[in-house]
Amino acid sequence: MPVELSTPKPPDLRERHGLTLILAVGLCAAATLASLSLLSLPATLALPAFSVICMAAATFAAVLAWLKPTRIAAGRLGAIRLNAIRLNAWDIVGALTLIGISAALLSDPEQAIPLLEARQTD
Amino acid sequence: MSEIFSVEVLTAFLQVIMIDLVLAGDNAIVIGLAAAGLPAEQRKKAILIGIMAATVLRIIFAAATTQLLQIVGLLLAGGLLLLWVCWKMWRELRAGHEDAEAAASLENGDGTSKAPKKTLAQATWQIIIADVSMSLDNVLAVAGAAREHPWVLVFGLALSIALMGLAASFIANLLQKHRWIAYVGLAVILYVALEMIYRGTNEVLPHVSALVSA
Repeated sequence: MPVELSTPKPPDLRERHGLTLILAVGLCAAATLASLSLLSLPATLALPAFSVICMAAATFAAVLAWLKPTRIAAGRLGAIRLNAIRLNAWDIVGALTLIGISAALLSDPEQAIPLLEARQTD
Repeated sequence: MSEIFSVEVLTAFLQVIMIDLVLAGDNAIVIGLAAAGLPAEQRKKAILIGIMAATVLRIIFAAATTQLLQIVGLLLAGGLLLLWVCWKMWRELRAGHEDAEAAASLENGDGTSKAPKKTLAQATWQIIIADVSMSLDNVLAVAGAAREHPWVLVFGLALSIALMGLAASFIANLLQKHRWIAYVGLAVILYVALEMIYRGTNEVLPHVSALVSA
């Protein structure tokens, strides 16, 4: 009786790279937005806007990591290898959160909020 | 539909997020820093205790804002307390490095090491002391806004609790894996402490000079 041999199915390359690609594209978009906001906004609004963009990017990465925990968050398939440091989506979420909070704390909301209110009434 | 994305709504949204980030951000970093050295199960407990303490303290301080504003030197005391927490965390981080180096050189054959671990009680005390200082600072800072728009602060408080929990666990997970980033978090908390001390000193100085000249 012939023995049927089966090989384990390799992970779908398109799927695993696709999710990392979504994350990369999202982070690039956030970086572009952050650069534009730093260049175009007044000095008092630049840091608050940068902070909000970082937090939005962190939320986006967290949602992506939460939706696909085995693909991205487990650090096996969607992990990025940089100079022997293995990063996964949750590391990126943590780093963006820390940067966003630091930017918010370094900015002065007492100056930024009246400026926002003035823009709103114009 | 377009009204949802109007400039006014987006501006209000940005304001609420900014207030929340400033309200909850420093607490989230301290909770994340303190919880990072703990095992996963205890880390969750430490984060939960930190959030609950911060929430209760904020409600108490917000209820007594008028009385608190009359106490001269409260901000300075809070800043000094936070500076002490920074010092404790700095020492823990340095000790952690030395222990890791010693454990690496004296590691047992089965891969286990005898490096001392941080306890949940230690982390909880650090979180509560830092929460007292920072909640006090935050409540006093937004006291003016609270009088005009109390609903914004109630909504902000609820949102800041959720933000604090999520941000603290994200930061704790990051610091657990990459310990060196804890120095960045510590620098941010040090900045908050020094800023509180600066503002507190400016508040105290006129009173001190009036006492000296009298």
